[in-house]
Amino acid sequence: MKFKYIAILTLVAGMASCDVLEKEPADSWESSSAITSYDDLVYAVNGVYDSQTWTSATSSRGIYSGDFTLYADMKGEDYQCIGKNGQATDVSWYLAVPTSLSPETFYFAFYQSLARVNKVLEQAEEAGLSGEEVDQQLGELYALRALFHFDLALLYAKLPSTVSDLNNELGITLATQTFPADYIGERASLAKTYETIFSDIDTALQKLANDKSKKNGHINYWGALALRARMHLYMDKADGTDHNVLALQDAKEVIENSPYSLYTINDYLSVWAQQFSPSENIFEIAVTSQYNAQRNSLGYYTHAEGYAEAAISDSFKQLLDAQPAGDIRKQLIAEETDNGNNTGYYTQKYPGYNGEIYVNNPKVIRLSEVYLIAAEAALKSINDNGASAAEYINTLRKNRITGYEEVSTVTLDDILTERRLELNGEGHMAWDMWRNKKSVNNPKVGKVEYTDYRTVLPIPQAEINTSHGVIKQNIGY
Amino acid sequence: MQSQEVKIAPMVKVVLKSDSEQLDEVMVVAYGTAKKSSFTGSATSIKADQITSGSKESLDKAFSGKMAGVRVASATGDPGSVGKVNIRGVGSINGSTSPLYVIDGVVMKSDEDMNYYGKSQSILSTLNPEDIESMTVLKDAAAASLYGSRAANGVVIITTKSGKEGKTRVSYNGEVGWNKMAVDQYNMMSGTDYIDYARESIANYYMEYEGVASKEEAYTLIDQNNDLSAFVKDPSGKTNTNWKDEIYRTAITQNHQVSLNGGNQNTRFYAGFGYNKSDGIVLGSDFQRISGRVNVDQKITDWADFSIKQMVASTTQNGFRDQNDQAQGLGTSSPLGILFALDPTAPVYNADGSYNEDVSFGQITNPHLMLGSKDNANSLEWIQSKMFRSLTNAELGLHFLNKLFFKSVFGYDYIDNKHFEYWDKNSVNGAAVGGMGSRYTFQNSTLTSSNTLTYTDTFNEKHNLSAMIGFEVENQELLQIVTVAKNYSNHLPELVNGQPDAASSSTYGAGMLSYIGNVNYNYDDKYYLSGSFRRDGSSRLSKENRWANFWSVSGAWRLSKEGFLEDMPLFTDFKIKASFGTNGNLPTDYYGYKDLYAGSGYGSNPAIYWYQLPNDKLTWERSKNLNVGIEWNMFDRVTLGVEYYLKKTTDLLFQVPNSYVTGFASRWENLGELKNDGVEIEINSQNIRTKDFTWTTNFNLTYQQAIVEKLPNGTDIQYGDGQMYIHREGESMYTFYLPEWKGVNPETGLGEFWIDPNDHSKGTTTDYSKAQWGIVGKALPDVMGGLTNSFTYKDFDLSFLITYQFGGDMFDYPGYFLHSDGYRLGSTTPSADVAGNYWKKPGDVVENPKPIYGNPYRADRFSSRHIKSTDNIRLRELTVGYNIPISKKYMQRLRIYFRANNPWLIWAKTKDVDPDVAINGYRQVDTPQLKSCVFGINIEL
Repeated sequence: MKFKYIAILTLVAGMASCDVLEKEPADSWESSSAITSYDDLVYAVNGVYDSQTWTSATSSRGIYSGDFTLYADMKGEDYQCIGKNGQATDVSWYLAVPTSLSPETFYFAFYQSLARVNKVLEQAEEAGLSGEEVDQQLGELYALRALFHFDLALLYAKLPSTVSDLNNELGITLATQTFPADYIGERASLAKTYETIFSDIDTALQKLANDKSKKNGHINYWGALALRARMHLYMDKADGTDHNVLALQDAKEVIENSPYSLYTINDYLSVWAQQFSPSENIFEIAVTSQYNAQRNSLGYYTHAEGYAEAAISDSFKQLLDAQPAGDIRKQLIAEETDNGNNTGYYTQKYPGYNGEIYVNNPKVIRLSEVYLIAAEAALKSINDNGASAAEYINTLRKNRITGYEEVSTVTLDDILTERRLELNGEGHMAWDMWRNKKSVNNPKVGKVEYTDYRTVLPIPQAEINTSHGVIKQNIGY
Repeated sequence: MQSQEVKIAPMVKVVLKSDSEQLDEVMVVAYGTAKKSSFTGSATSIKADQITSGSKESLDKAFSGKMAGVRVASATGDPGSVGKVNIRGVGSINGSTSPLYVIDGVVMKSDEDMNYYGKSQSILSTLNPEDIESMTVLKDAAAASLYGSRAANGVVIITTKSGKEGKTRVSYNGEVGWNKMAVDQYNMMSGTDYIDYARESIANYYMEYEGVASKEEAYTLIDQNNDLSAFVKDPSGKTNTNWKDEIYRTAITQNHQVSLNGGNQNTRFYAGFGYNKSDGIVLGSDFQRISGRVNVDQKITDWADFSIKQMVASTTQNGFRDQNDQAQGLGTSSPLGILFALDPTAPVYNADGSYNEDVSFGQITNPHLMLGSKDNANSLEWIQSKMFRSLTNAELGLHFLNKLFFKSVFGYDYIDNKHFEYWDKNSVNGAAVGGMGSRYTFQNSTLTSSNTLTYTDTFNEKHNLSAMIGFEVENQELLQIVTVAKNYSNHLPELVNGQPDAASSSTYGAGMLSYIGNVNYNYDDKYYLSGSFRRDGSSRLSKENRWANFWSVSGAWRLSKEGFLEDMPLFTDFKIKASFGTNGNLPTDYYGYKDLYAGSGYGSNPAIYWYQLPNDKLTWERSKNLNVGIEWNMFDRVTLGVEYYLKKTTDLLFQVPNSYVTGFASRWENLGELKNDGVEIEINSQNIRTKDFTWTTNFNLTYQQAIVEKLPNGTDIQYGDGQMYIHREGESMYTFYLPEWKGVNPETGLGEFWIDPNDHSKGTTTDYSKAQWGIVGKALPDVMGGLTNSFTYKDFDLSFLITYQFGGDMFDYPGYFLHSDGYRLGSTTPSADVAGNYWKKPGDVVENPKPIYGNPYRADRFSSRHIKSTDNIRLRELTVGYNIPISKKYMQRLRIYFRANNPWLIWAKTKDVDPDVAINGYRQVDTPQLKSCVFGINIEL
């Protein structure tokens, strides 16, 4: 009798518990079912931008909302590190070696973003999504893929305008699809790298052309076009084509037909504390109090009360001092101190929204840069002693300097100086110099020629290790 | 000799049983008990008094030095933190290396997935060591295979106290004492030494960077420019603050326990109530536990027993973030981070008696204004964790025909763990966000039910057989709630005072289904044979790979029962044994095999993203275990146990680094092979046994190694902070792989590295990046063990435990900050040992290169310069007691005692460093180990 009960009891317990082995996560779900509708696609595209606002994998380092946007400034001559936390001295003091944190975080963060792009592209195709709205989303993805590859190429490969043969120079490992976990890539040539970048940005423009309206926090047609102008400018004549002509063409289109207009002198000091609404902002990434890079954010790096990794250098202060009295940009730096520590001048481009200094949208591209691209491209491609270029510079400077007197000609150095003044703290300085085969005079390490091996970051040692040497290290490291 | 009742029967030969039968203790083993003499596996147990002679705060720390093959190390000395237990080496490379804990027959949650991400907290600290009767460690397959898929790292079986028949005994144990830093370390440079060092660093800066030709010129420049004032608060040399004394303190600890124990033929009960309060040595850190336990055993009928064991415990842990094993670097506001940043020339107090805030060149202010617990108004950053746990065991036993025994055990483990971290808006970390409060709540419930049927029989008086079959199911559910507020309007910590920032919740679940069985047979207590089997299915693996079988076979031969050894006193008992079998180790991820998307946000809109690469081939890590050994009792006085074990782990749960191009840093795979082997020796000896005086000695020694046998494609894997470790075939686990430091060149004052660690003929370099990397040490010790001596003389007793370990190294991460050759001048004060030990002029033979502010050589980077030996001999425990003779009319027992834990580092190869580091040899920047001294009293009525 008893045995029977026990047997039954055991059996019942066994039956009832079969489902204990089927557990589904509550905070994540199967990828196969992740993208089945247009809404899913929109959210997944958001997920790509999201990766540039914060990322747990690298403690939010290496991304646009943080140290990436300041990279070329910290490597240039207009910034200096005053703080003592050594968060970005890999960059600003040129200390990066293959095992350093910075090369690893930039590398990882951009490839993480690329993996998200590619996963969404593949899943959208699998799900058979199509239509104009879908194309708009896919267009954003292609534009971002071009941008992220371009940024990786700037960080880890030589600048195309500085090399003699693109085919004989190492580019980056290209990520135009998702890869299995054990994938080992290989660095493409610099030629192939830029071909891929241009191919993606061209695809993006085709897909984005249906809707040319402003898109807060998203790259739109104009953003992609402005970025293509930048990419052409960087190419210069590297592959035999004069990309300056193309850069000017794209820049002109943006200047003439886009809904964006230059900041005015009156607005100039206040636009930095505003998001999306300022008239120039073509593409900015949306950072919020929930999703930001915290202590590795733009605001925390560029203030005395934060890490003070990126303060204005003495030479840049002098450059500003030497500008005409009416230049509104002179007022965009301020002396700061943190209870007597980190005393120095700091840019006020990243004041934080609502007083939260972590929260600043990086401006990936804005109209001033497009004017400057147009000026430089015109100077390089039109043989008129800088007259056409001067027009763009005049327009820009009129909106920055009270009582500005127009000039009839400008030189490359004039344009580069104007870039330093206008785009200070937005990630251009060192690359602008080097791509024009000039040097920077870094306050910490002194003169850095464009040929210096340290103008390019080392490939992270971890990546070399996992590839078993297939991925080649940059020269000098 | 002991008297024995013998039934009067004709022609009975009365043999007096020897005392050795007393030594034949009954051990609690997997799903039952076993006589030690008949046990064919490898297991060791410690009893209540050995458990409570260690730390009373957490029982995982009580193992240290008491058993062969068991190693305990806590990463931090903060009260309530985890003591990491490793049994027989390192069972896994990336999977869990912690043993399985089983309490009163039910697997108990002991992992760390309910911890706050910023702080170590031991879930085992909910158990009151005073309620524990014994702990048995199952080491080999024969002992542990019945726990199958989770037994690869050994099993710790905890048995709580149960009532004893007889008069009800009431007892009280009380202890009060103090804790201090166990090893005198982290002594910082004095004020005057620091001024010299700063001056020297700046002078070298002028010479290195500004082309100043001589030191004298540089000194002049320093004085002209008043450079010192940027690095030294008081260049006069009149102030000398020892900040260590301001941060670390002598802390008070106390423990109280009241218990009842008694029963009659049918009902037995044990009830205990305990209170433990241990202050940490850092201002504001403490641990408190209030616990209660009631165990009732009831005999219902001749054939049915029922018992209920219920524990409730509540712990509170106050403190601050810790470094969490290489994950977090040195936190600016961590105690050690604060200590390192403070200027020894800054005074603690202002002239008016208030705390001086201007004490560092960074964001760090006076530690009295930074550190403290929730209840201290001055403390700006703190973490408080409150854990509540209820453990219920219900057990029904049914006996049929004296041969069949059915047992049903039902366990319910409920844990509620609430963490609260607060950063005041004036704190270092809180300033940027206007203050932040985070409440993380975890709630876990684990339900376990096991049913076993055991058949025991004896045939022809000599064939003893027992066989068991059973079934077990376990279901675990974990809930996590996260709420964060920022932008506080005031200084009140509760989240309502800030603006809501994050709110989220999630659940996780895991289940396991198991079938178990074993057979034990012995012939005449002479030959033993056992086999066990377990089939496990786990929800943590994909359907295709979910089920696996684990088994063991073992045997023993008691030679002392054979005619040729019988009645030889040298062989009171002599047994040889061997076992072989398999165990497993499960992935710790709940859903690690799936291809997953997760949600986030972008702007104010939802975002989703690719979160996890799939791995549906993921399966158990498997280990094959061989164990051979002898157990020898000589002259009924000395027992010797020698065992050799060989454990090969295959299909390792391996976190393989991905190419970053995949977008994911790493993945889990079942790859590679690990070999752990070793010899364990245990000797127990009753040296002297007289009426007034006894002396017993317990000695144990473990020789062990853990070798990585096979790696994916046979290629090396570098990993860890700064890639300081390497997995290489044929090398030990936790092998350090770094550039090799040669030392300071006496002529140039620069640090030098060997260009090739394997070939010193290639010369040296001062350029860190030119130095090749090589194997420079390993963390695992070759030899470790302990020696306990216990003496009693009349009413006095004395016992002490000395532990030792040799052959291991550590990476001195704090030392990396403290020896920065001027690079960190102004942010980190060097340690005292640098003073007088850094290069100043040609010919100086010193350990530290010349300091240069903004040092371009960075010879302080990770290299063998920071690798130190952990060899040491240590007095781990010391107890002196006195039983006050008092009439049994009033009291059964009155004992007073003094106990010390970690009182004395007898010998250590490396000075100024506590050699107790985690098994990976990474000396962390957290609170170091404590020594404690307590006075206690036992009263039994």
